Amino acid sequence: MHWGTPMAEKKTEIAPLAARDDAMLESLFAVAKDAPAAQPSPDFMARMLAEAEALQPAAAELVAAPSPRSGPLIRLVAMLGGWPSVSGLAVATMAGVWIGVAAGPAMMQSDLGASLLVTTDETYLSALDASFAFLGN
Amino acid sequence: MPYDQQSDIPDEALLVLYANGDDGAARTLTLRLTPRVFAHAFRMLGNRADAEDVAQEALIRLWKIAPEWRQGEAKVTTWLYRVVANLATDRLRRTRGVALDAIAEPEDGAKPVSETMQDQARQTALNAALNTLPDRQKEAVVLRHIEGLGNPEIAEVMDISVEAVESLTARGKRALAQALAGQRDALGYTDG
Repeated sequence: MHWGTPMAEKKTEIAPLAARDDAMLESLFAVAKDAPAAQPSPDFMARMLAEAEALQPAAAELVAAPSPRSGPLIRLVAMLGGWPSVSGLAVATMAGVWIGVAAGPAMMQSDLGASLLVTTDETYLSALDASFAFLGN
Repeated sequence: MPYDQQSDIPDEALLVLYANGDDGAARTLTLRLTPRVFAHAFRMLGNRADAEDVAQEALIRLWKIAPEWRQGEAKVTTWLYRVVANLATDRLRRTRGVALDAIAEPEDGAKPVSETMQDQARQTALNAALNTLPDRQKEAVVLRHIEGLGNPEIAEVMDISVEAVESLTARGKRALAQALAGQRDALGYTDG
């Protein structure tokens, strides 16, 4: 809010009022505070209330969320955990297909691919954990 | 929200509720602010018709600014006092010299007639004396001694320093005392 330009009133020493003048002014101020003429009329109050209500912005309307649609696909998606879960499944599926198609031959030629294709007794469980070594004996 | 549930809510929060379309906020704010706005306008202008015009304009401005009101920047009442003072000053400048000391008809018959008449005479005399002051002195005196605001809030309303407020009110009281000196006895203020 703009409060305008400060005025340049300066403070100067002013002699205090005589006690009787001060008492008279205090009495007059008290009369002014209680003056019926300073009270708004009921009619004016009613008009101000009507105006306040007329100028009041309308409350924002609450809009209901759209109701969920039903159908086989919607039910399947819901069963799988909603669209986030389904999209995760779709990404995982596509990643699997991509690995199978694009990286298949290269992977088979690598050491990892070769070790997966050739299994011997030595490369079985005992290779994973020494506690399974007895199975080889 | 019923009125009694909002009676403890600050004006600034109610104004936000008002801007959000809360039904009770318009009523609570109107009942709370209209008497203060009207009273200040009346004390600045001295007649009810002009005071109603100024109070109405100030409140309309408040309702219109409500959606952009920034909490913490200013008190609603401080802002309103300032708007009322500006509107009243503009109106006084336009109508200077035309029935400035007009006073409204009495409305309250609860007091004894003699007391009511004396109060009316005192009110009229004070109003006339206030109208002899420069606008800024008058505004400071009214805010301090009739509206009962503290000097820091008056400084904010008038956009001046607290020291300047003290100076204006002191000068204003001295000028009032001089203006009323000849009416002391007539107003029932006898020495002794």
